[in-house]
Amino acid sequence: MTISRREFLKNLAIGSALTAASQLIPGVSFAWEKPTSQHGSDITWKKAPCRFCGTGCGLLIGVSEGRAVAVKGDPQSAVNKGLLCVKGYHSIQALYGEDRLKKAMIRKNGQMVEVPIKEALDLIAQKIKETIQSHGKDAVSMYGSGQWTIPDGYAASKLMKGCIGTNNLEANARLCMASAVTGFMTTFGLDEPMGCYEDMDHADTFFLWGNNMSEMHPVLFSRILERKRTHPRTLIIDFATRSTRTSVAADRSILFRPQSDLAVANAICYELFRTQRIDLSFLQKHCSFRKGKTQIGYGLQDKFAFQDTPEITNLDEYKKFLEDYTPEKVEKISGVSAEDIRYMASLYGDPTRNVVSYWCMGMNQHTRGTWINNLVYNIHLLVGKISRPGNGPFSLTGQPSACGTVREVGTLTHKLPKGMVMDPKARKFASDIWKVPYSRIPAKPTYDTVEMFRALDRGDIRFMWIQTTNPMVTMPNLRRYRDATKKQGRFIVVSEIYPTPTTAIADVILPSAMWIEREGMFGNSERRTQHWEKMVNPPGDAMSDTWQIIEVARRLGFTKEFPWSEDKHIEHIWNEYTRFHDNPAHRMADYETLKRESGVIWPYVNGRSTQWRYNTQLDPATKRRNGAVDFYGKPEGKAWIWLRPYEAAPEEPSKDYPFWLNTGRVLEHWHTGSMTRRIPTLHQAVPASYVEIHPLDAKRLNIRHGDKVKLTSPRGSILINASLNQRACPPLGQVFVPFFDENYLINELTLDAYCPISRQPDYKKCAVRVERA
Amino acid sequence: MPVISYLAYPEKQHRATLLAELSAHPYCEVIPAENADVFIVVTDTPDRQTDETVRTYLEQHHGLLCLAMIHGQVEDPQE
Ligand code: SF4
Repeated sequence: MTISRREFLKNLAIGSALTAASQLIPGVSFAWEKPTSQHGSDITWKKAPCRFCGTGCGLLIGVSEGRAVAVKGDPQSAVNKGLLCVKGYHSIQALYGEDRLKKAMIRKNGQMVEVPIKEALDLIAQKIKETIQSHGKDAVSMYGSGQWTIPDGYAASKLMKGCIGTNNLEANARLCMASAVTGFMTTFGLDEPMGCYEDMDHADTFFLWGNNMSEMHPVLFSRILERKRTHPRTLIIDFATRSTRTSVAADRSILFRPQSDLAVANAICYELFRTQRIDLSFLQKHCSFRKGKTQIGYGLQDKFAFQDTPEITNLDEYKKFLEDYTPEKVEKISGVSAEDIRYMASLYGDPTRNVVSYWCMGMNQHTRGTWINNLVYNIHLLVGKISRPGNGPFSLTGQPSACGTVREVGTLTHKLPKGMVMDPKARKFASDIWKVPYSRIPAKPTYDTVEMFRALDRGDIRFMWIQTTNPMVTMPNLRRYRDATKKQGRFIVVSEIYPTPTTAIADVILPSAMWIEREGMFGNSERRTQHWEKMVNPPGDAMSDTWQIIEVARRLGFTKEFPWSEDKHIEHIWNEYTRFHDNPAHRMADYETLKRESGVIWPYVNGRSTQWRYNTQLDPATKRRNGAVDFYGKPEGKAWIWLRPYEAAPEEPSKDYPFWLNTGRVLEHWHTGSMTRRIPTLHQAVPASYVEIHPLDAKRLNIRHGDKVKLTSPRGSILINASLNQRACPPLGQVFVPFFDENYLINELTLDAYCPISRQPDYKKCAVRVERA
Repeated sequence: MPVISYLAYPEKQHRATLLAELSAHPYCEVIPAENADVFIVVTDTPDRQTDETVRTYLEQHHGLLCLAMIHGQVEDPQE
């Protein structure tokens, strides 16, 4: 049977609604039969990962007459098994916004003027050369993204570190997952989770630490709800600072005061000892103890320096340390009842339960982000619930390739595709693969993201190339950094697909090819690498970020380092890049496998994904056979249990600024909304940002739903509409503002304090005043 | 030429009349659930303006408790 295209599109819309209904109402049935042929006469379907979050759902994209016309979930994808969220279903419409950037632009006499892209690329190369000549290599910088494809990040790293010879390379993933990296590194010696999404099919207890999963990772949350439907014993514990849709769906919603998760995690460990729920054999075989510096600061000053020094300690000292964290003491700090703390400990400690902990920005955007990551690992290590199906700690990523591009390629100042710049062996390895002089790769990291923008402000950096990110909406303490870009003698290049507040401050704008308009790979939260081919042509002169970098590199004289042809460059880059990871602990799949499969998990050894790392039965990289796991990231094969105390946030509510401000996302919009606000359905669903206020606070301040409210922090103020009792509700004394709307720049109010170890800023806590406008 | 699907939750007492009304609507197709109080409504309209009108009609319908848009605005390549 052949059906018309229109019928086909209608069937697709019905199919989506059926899927959504079955997620929302378990067991619901409809008398609708899918037509036997799903194909419109001329639609071809191609696989791609979704580009709107770190879940990495597999999509099938329908292409007809050179245009992407339809989307459905890929039933072959182990990530989403055919499900998608509202962003995924509408993703292709982000390609076709009316104001897509199609031509390069250069600022001439204060005005942006369209120019041939060749002229813009020439100017960028010329400015890089001039800046290096007059201010040195470290005056040139590049700021990329966890939405960069893996080849984009690889080309950027090779150009900046291997060719130009500066470590001035950062990516916005510093703002979203750096604490997860330092958490993994300090505890296990290797980055990225040990488990995978399949844990959801084996666990019966889900702890969500400050993670509004129903909105931020909706497809994964659907999988958890499905697990609950089929295994009624399943429990979902929402441990958060505000009540959300996740809290409503959870079995227990437990609210804690901002920053006090540190104390609660320690109290859970105290309670595990008290109730003798520790897996002592696991602890003895697989763990050792460390303590680090305390009172470590908040990175608020320019050129802030901090180096932790791990000190060996022992079980007795650890138990003594935990005595400060009895449930009763912690109740006073956190507002969480001692009874609830005991309840949480009892679930972690129950030997009949399989427990997974999930988190995302709540724990990572935290001035003690590394510490809270360490502390949740402590819990899992104490009870031995780690690295086996259904058990483990799991930091979810926000962006589609924060893992694949930023963490694995290493597009951060201190990283190389394998190892750190400080390590001579890592530099030698990189220089051999890149065929560049060893001496050219600098041994010292330069600036993390916040410090990079501070350096731009001071004038230490003069040139910045920004790709696939929108820092003029996302930088904390935004005014300082926006003013910095406008200072005399700064030159800013922005590669983008739509006009944004960041293109507004650019001296050169390069139009970028988006997602399926070029070939690429992403790496999602669970170490899964996903490839897609170019499906449609980009508009006008738009060019992929990878190819932009290659064009500029060649103009700088690095043709030998970037010799690839335009039609094959992604394959060549992949083949070169994977040489960095050619070992059993991190081997990546070959190009042909990636083209064929809907994604595979590294280490990919002997044609198989490794789903649970460190597990001696399942991970081919393990060597020691004295137990269930081998934490081979640490020389002695043992994970480190850290003694990390509770320390207060740098800015807390006060008489002048009596409310906590928390910021974040909403289901319908991706990050700063530069794409999703151009998708009519998503824009209409949430057309503008708002401030959530507790109804009693609102009543006291004479604020009704929809009223204009003035929010003021020591750094600035905005006017924004109040939202009462809508999709979520903060507790008394707290407000929440989503950051997707460039008309309400909430980051003008946030504080540029960060975790001194990860250097990831805290967007979840600062103090504000709330007034009816 | 927008095609949009919704989940529509009817008021219990208006379920039957709403179903009849939407089934007769020139731009709507309705698929009621067999075992729950929810409909899938698909609108298929010739242009954005008609789409807006139909959506407003649905949103303001007194027999509907809640309307959730699920899939919308699939582009027609010939547009
Ligand atoms: S959950 Fe994330 S990856 Fe999956 S469809 Fe939604 S936005 Fe895309």
